[in-house]
Amino acid sequence: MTNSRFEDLERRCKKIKNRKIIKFVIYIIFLSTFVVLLFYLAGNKYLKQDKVPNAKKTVLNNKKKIILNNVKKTILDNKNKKKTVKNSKKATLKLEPVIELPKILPQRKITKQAKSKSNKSVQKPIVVPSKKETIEKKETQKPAFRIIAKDANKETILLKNYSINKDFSSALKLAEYYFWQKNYKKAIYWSKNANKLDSAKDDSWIIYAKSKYALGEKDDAIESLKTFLNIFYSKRANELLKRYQKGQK
Amino acid sequence: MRDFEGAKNLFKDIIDTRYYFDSISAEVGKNKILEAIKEKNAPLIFVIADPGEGKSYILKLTNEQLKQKHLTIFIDHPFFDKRDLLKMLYEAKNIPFDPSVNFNALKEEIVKKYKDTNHTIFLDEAQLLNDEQFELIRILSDTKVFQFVLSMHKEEGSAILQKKHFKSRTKVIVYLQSLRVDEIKRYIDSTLLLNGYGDISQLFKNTHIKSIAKYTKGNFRMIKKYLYTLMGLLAYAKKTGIVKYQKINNCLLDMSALDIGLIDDKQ
Repeated sequence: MTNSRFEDLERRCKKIKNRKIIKFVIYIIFLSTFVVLLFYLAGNKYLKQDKVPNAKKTVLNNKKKIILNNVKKTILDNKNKKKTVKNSKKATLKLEPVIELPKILPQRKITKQAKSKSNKSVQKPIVVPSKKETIEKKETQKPAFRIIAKDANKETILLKNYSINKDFSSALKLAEYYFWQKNYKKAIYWSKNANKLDSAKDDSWIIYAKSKYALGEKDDAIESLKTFLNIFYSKRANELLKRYQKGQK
Repeated sequence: MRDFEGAKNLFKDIIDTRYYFDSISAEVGKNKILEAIKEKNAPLIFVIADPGEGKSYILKLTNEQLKQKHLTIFIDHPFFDKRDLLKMLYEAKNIPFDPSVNFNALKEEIVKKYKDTNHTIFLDEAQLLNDEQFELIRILSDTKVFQFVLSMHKEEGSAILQKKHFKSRTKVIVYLQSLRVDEIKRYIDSTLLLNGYGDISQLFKNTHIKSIAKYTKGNFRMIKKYLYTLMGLLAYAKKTGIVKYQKINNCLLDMSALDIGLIDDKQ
């Protein structure tokens, strides 16, 4: 064994040691990248599964929504209890100013605007109506007032009815009421409430689907009907689903 | 004081049958050969293993054990002419060999001479024989007078066994295996302890033995060569006062492997 040979071996050994360290570092980097990628892909897959609900998931999601709605509802109920009591008392009193205000307020505003704008083009609101005209107008306004008042009463009655009974039919009536009023968001809200009280009846599902469809959320409408039909049989729901699938209203 | 230089000489690549290491594979192989010779149940015995796994050693060891009881002929190199084999057989019996006599007459005479004696012919590196020589071995073994022990490399041996000379013949095949990690440890410990180098055997940890097994792949000849180099490096470090390399460490193990070409730093 010579000195140079020993030194050469030592140098080569160090080279191998460095290579081993580099390999180890690369291995660790590769492993950690792989683990991160795996978690990332697993996360994406989970999210995708959430985005595309199947029948079971929608049922579960509906249940979750119902639970959330329950919490919201209890909060809303407490508020509504106070409101409905106030509303029932002030319904008739409140309705008059609500309807008349739009007539009066623009006039006030316009007259102020007209005064400030001096002699610009003559506008109709500036002209002060005569007594006869006001009487005529009031007469023409009467039917509109009555309808709104009637509807307002119906809503409050239905809400009151629900707050007392808290059953499926009163919730469904509210959902139907809002649906025909074309307040689809509220219709969805109340159909969910009704569904929570009895999910086996097709009425609430149909109102929900129709409201969703009316809001343009056709996929949700179809999906909800499919979910219901997967568990229960309903001729009406089935026909509605077929219609929606064909793209008919 | 650790005498690495003295320990180094224990691992020289020489076959000394006085120092037999009884690995499981060697022990099983040796017993199988001796049993086959004793019972004379097969005229052909093949010892097959990779180079350096102890074929020659086992052949020499069995030869040493048998030659005291009956006639043995040990041929450690391949013969070039088939007459050479007959000549060796004549010489072993102290019978004058006449090269002018034709081959068949020589063969018949030697069969007659060997008929009533116990004898074994050991033939090392038999994979180097050609077809004609194999045919002669087959003819002699078919007489039921001669018994051959042939050692061959695993790769070539497997192909030779498939040849028409031996395929249908009654034969005993002994396969030798490489040493396991625990056998390597036992070999190092026993070799060093038996020769008074217990202090050096204490330097070997289990991790070192595993590294040696990894580098040498359990090949007996390679283990000896490796340990010879390792002891040389330790001896040099001690002589020059390099404290770092006076004990076995990973770098020293790598250096030994590099020195005998088991690993390469240029990969």
